[in-house]
Amino acid sequence: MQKQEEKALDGVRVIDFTWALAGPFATRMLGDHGAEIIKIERQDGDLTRRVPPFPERSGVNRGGYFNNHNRNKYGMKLNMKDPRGAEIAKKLISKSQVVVENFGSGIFERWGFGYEELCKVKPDIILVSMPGFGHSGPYRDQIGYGQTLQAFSGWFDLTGYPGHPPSGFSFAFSDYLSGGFAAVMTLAALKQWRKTGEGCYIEIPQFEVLVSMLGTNFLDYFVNHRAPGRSGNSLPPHVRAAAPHGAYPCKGEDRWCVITLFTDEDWQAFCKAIGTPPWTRESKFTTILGRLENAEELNERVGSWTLNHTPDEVMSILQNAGVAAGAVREIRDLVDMDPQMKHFGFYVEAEHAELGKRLFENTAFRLSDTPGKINWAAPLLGEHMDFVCKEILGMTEDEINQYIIDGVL
Amino acid sequence: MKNIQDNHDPHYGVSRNNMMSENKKPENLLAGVQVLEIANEMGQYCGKMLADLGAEVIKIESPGGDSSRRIGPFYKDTPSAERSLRWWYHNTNKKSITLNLKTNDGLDIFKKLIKGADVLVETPEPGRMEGAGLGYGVLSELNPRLVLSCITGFGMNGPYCKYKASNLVGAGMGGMMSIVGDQDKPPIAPCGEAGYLTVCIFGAIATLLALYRQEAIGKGQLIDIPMQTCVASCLEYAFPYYAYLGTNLKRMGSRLQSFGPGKNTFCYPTKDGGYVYGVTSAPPLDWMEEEGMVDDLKEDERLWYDWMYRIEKEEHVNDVFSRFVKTHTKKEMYDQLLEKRSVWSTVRTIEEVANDPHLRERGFFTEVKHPDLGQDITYARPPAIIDGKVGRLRPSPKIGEHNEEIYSGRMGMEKEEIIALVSAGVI
Repeated sequence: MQKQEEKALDGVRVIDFTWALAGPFATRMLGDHGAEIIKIERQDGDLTRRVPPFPERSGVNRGGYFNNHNRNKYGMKLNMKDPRGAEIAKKLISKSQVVVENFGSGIFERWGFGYEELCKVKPDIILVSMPGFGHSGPYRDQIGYGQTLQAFSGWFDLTGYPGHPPSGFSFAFSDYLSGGFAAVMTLAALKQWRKTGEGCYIEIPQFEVLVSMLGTNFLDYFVNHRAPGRSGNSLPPHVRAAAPHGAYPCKGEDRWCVITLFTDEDWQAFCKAIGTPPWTRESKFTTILGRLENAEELNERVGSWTLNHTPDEVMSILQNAGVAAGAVREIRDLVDMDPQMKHFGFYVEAEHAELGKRLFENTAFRLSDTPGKINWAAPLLGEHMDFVCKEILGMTEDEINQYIIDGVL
Repeated sequence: MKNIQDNHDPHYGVSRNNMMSENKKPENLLAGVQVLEIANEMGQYCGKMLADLGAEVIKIESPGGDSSRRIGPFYKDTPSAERSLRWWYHNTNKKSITLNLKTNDGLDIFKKLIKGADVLVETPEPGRMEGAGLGYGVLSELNPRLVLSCITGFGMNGPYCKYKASNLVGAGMGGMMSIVGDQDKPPIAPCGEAGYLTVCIFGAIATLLALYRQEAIGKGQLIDIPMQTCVASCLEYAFPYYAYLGTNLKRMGSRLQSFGPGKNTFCYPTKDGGYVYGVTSAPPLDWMEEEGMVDDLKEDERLWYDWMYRIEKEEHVNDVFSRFVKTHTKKEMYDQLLEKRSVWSTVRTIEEVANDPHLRERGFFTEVKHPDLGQDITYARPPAIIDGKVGRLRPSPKIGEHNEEIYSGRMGMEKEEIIALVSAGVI
């Protein structure tokens, strides 16, 4: 039997200079699984400490956005513009395995924290750098915000309804893609380090992550010269036959259920599940080619059936017949009602030093022997200064106080 | 187009013992890691990430080829199992063997393969692997080091575990569709395969966590990776807004949730039918002023320097900004926004990104030889540069391309055995 407390990354220390979302999401994954994440913040704190929602009143320690993305981390303030601050950071790095940063290109080097410099204090360090556009190339000095990167990389233009302006999407999906990819790379580097004792330097331009994740579209462009357009929820005809395939209106206000049929088998099962109404036997719907050609009318027919049922009824009727269908869950459904999310235990409580008991997203996957866990909420600004300065760096109370008076800590 | 630097070990399939004894840095981060993959379209990007990092990923396909080879787009729009561009992209650097797991011979061979593997990535139908005697209990007895990564729609147990999933079902059930799309139209998913991509990234993270642990204690584990929870982890503002304020955020078109729901960012049309993505808090004000387009803002000084205030007065500010964008072409906006290092950006098409000067200079789109076609094909390379080098891209395998290498070379099967197994429909 494994002891409950053992974690996959026990003994790994990460010095985390990241801010905003992409970087903190990457280190959140590591922290959830036992890595000791020392989050280094400017003295006025990570930008997202100023981002809502705030319960009751705002404050750098009160934001739900920051809290959710920075749980399980140790909070440390440091003035990197003071040479003594940089020195303290280097001491910390000398006692760590990983350094992660997502500043604009050049900032880290300007501090004297280039890979070669870091190797001098810790020869086997793993440095993960997540610039917006990369450390070379004409856009090197451009500012890479997740939100605008998804417009610049092609994601935005393809998301929306045919014949309408791009809808884009109302959240920074890009930060999760590049943050997740950075976690993959960091773990691969850690695996190599564990095996060989060697560190490495990894550059992950967030722009390139986003472009790579539309890779099939680019192959299609280079091979077939295809310039794709927006297609809503439909699959383009050059990709795959799928009809019905989309979100259908259900009983209730603005409620929807997704239905996706691919094969003729799916269609037979679908017809049976909805009671084989006469229209399903019309010749224009009995073949795949017919269903594709008459997709608009088909969607209306399907929609007139779904409208009589709640999304959960539609899902359950169709899934019981073996058809891939799913309610379009809103966030309140996921948190309050979805039985599968409850079964998994996806939303869990943890105690925050100022906000009290709060709800968190759990880790999205579960390792049988070393499951991740929310041990504590996000740190207050500088909450773990004592732990970091005394226990890791061995500073005395007097030294710490002097640094505080001098504005270094 | 630049060719990527070839840093691949020419002795592909170098034995694990060799790797261990050498005390120098291997060329690839995951060199020596052996992965088996039984994955449909839902899970292939996970294996791709591992293969691109140098793991030996052996895809097990049913004889005749995996059904996902039937998904387009296709090379020159001519469908064939070896010409799916989707398959090409999602299976770079992998090997392929064919094996019929519904036969006893197939099961025997599979169990032998398991003994040498570090990881099995699978997208199992619920209960099917257990039914075939291939559940985690059996496999881990054969090989205690084995990491079993199960990528599914809804998880390995629970009320929906038997439900079928597709990319769209994952995006819907994970909550992502409820925050994408226009309010007066149905919810939509982000383009492409957002649900599949998300579960695959999380799947690779989970697999590597278990591999790190395996390296430390010599034991593998079972990993449950549901698309629904992975997608639900990527909703940004929606979760904290509901958890902290009880606000149920929903789709609001291209207006991003940022500094408050639906604030701060907008899509403005250009003079010639293009679009610009603008951030209210950080507009290129100097440029607008040069062109005399911001006089309206000057009436209220705060609008000039207080970005929080600008967000409050979004209606007025947007009016000014969209009038400005409308006076320019997309090309002008692109040039000037870069020139001025603005966070605003043009909404670019695939064609524009494919011809991007920055990506060209960085050698991002790279030529990969496809000997059977007698031509080089341009791919997006993996987006990480490790110690200054990018990994080599080998084209995806043909159906059973590595049968001989694995069955005969590695497992030592005789020619007659292989013929017997092929003729009996086992491989």
